[in-house]
Amino acid sequence: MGKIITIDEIQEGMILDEPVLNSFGQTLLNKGASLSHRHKIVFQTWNIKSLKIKSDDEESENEFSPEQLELSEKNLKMKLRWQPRNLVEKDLYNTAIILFARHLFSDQNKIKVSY
Amino acid sequence: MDTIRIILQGIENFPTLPTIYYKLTEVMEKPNSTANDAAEVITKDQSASAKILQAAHSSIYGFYGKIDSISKAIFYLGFEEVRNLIVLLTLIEILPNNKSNYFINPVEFWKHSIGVGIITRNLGSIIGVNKLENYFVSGVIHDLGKILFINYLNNEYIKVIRYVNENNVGLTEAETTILGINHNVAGEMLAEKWKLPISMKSVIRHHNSGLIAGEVDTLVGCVHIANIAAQMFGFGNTTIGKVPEPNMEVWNKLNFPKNTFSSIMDKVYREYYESLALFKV
Repeated sequence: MGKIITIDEIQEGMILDEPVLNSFGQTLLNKGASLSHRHKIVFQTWNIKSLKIKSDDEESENEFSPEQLELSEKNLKMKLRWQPRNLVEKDLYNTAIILFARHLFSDQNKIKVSY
Repeated sequence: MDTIRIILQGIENFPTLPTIYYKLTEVMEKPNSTANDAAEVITKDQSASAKILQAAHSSIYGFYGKIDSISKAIFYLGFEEVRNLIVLLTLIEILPNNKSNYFINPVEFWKHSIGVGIITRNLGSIIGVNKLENYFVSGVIHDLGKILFINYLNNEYIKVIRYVNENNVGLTEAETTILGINHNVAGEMLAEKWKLPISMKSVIRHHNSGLIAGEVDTLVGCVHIANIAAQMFGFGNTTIGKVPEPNMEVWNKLNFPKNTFSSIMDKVYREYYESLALFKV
């Protein structure tokens, strides 16, 4: 899992973990690109405020514990009447587990959930 | 009075869109009109102008720092989206957060709707739609018909919820069976009365399937997927019964990359929370 940083935090050699798009949806820089200060200027021109880089940081690597993710998945399964049938649905399903975990376990966005 | 008649009467009595919306439509329909002509109409309504500028300046559209006038809002967002924002701002006034209801909490309704708008625009972007005008607001107002139901139905709707839970069917099917009309059809009738653009009417009517006359439509297909994704992501809690299955035809036609959702996840998450603050949800 990557880590979100602001443009000011860009350091030479950081690896982009998701593409940077401009406001027209065009890709400015692809995932996997190595960042430089030159990119910072391009991002500022397009008013890009933040981006996601690859990180070994333990905190961002493990945003949630396996138990938390399991609980989130259990909740998701209860809400659905279907199971993923292709890769994009699998990606949707896995993304939902993480985003729903943020609702459940992030301090700012706690919501009530019944099990 | 039967439910259909209550809804039809509700549509008849429902507040109209502000005059500025129709004046803007007139300007847009004149072949020689410019962005300045439209800006002149909008700036006469100071309250609407301020709100449009605030929305146009937000992260939803990503033009940070560039939009400091209505003319620029029209330039960057497009005529249609600026006009769409008038519809959205009106609806938020019609269904304020504090209106209580047995079956749909308005705060959760708006959270879900805004989540769908944000995801719709991001999906359009990821599959390379050139003209993203319409994508945000169309996503937000897909459940227009539910606003009618929240305003005019209460006890009748409890039967619908019971029917969904007891028979494990979709909401629109249950609405049609119990009420004789579903929120998609009711919403389209209101959209017709308001003379909303045809693209929006299609979204309101067909977002459950993603298809218009059996064919996948890009905007309607994106809203179809976004509606399901927002429920799965916990953006608002309006799901009655279970979250429906995406239409396989939409996946096949729109060719989403296999990492679509993981690649937009953080962007969508940030924009969602910023938008809730913007629209005071």
